[in-house]
Amino acid sequence: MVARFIENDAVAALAAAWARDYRLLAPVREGQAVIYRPWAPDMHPFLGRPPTASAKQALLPQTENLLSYTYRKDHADLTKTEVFLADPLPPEPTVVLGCRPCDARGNKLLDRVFLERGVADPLYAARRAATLFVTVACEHMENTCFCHWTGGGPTSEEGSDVLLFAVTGGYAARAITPAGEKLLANLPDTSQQIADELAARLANPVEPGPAPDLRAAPERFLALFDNMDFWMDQSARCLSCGVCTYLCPTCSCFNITDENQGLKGKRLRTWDTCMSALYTLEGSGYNPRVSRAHRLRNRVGHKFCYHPQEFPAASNERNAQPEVSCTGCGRCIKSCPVSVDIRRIVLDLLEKGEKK
Amino acid sequence: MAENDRIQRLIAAVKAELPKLDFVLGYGRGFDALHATPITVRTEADADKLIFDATCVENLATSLYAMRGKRIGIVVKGCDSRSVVELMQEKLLDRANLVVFGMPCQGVIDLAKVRVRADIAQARGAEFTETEVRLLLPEGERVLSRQDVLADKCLRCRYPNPLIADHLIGPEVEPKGVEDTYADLEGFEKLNPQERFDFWKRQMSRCIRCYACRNACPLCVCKHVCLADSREPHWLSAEATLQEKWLFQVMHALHLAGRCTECGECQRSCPMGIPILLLKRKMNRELKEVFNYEAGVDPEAVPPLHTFQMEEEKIKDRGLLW
Repeated sequence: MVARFIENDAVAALAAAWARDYRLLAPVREGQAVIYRPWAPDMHPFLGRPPTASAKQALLPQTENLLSYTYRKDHADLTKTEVFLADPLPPEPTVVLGCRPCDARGNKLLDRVFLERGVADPLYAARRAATLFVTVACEHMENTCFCHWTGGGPTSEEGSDVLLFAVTGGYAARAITPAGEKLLANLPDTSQQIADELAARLANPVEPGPAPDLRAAPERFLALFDNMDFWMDQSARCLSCGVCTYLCPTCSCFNITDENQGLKGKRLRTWDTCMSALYTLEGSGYNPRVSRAHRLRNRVGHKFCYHPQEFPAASNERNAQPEVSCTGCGRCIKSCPVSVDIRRIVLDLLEKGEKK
Repeated sequence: MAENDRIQRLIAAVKAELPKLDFVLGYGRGFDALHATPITVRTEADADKLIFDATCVENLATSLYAMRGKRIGIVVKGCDSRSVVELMQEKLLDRANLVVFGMPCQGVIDLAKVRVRADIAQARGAEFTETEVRLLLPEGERVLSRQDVLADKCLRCRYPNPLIADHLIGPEVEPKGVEDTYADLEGFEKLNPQERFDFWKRQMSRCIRCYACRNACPLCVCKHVCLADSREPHWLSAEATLQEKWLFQVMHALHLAGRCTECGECQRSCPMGIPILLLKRKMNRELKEVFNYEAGVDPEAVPPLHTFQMEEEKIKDRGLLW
């Protein structure tokens, strides 16, 4: 397939051109973090490192207005109250620039939750349909990366509309979808030299280390489910904060609250995290996941046991390896204040959960 | 070599105490040579995994409050020991159930400072000497000055030796700082209130409300019954706005006034690199000026905001009579 060429100096101009037709989210450096920001004329998109947070915020914003409401009391008859509801505006067409293949693959796992589980979420569906992903292919694997465990790779196309490859002087851009093709319409083709460079790179992919066989993961997780010493040791370091879940491209849990101000208010959907004790705190005061051990167990279990059990057919698509609710982006490892390593937990599960 | 000997002495001390304890909290190697991770030591085999070097950044005292009721051991650096002392001052832990393994410390590295100087995402190894950090990177060896990548708190450290320890695994270390001059606050203090607020608006706008800062704080003992999570009364909205994010940080800083030992875990834990410690430093400077008080140094001292005097030396009562 022919690739188009984007000069390094032309990235900002291209982003500006897209921003005329789309809401553009692009990564910029702020402090030590790389953050997605809406397009601004003085913005310098930074594509050199994976963004600190995943791109899921484009499809599942941290705060989403589900509806606004106003009560009106009937002054003649105070027992009567009218409620007026206002729907949120439909989503704008959006381009996400600078995510990584692991992020783009996360979209498919979000689809499982929001579109394929019997009831489709209309707000998510509208955002998903309106959002394009321009992904930067990875040149190497970081110490925290393990996309190859989950069926991905540094140049996976799944979930992306355009894939960018860093080449001499800029990026070679390959359209993956017709919508992606449209985004690249005004760009020149790559020179023969760049095309050769790209071909050479694709012919010599990054060789990740061996990946474990995850077929037994669900069963071994369940075998260790009640072994609280195992989970206590895994979680004794855990701070029970939301870093791992909020940065994760596939964590999809949310809370819904009414934020009242007098006679009007908003019904909000906000990110929630199963690492918080409040996540399972029941109205009675009882909490089935009372400790960090219980909560960490849930995060690992959801990704490597419950998800594959819920979508068993998906495993056939990838050589009988289960589809796990994780794309191996490694953000939960890299940004964890205490270096909890989900890979280590899964490997320990595989080892210690084996029936003796 | 000397360091290796010290770790062996730590391991021996831990093994000797293990039969009397539920477990010991210490440091093990994390996912690469630049990361340590807290481990629970229950067996002699676990004890052999203990490490101690400049990557042992975490303050393990953060877990103590949640583990009260258990008999545990803990490995502390000088700065971490101040958190233990402060918890004792506030009667939030039972000293009799705690065995402290004190490690005099030459300073820990700030990975954010290392990242500015080298791409460590693929680091294959790291070695620490008294003056250097030698990184083994895919492109070859890279040597950094240790001084350049030490955490700020280590550069002004006055308590490198644990203030409280049942086993002190020496030798003791000469403190680097004599008095905290708060020189790092100068730039910030020159700003007028509006400029300061603009600064914080910029910084806080990238907060994701993960509450790592709160949960990493050894003295933020409310954790999940925090005001920030309360629906009744409803102090904070679930909406991730600047206003809510800022309100929480102000609340955190105020609740830590006169208690914060500046271990820096709040700032180190922030995935978004927000300089939260600045707020705490500013608050501590005020506390130092008004009450001549420093948190977590003397187990017998009462934190100034836990008590009152009819007439405070440096607080004018505005001449009102009652």
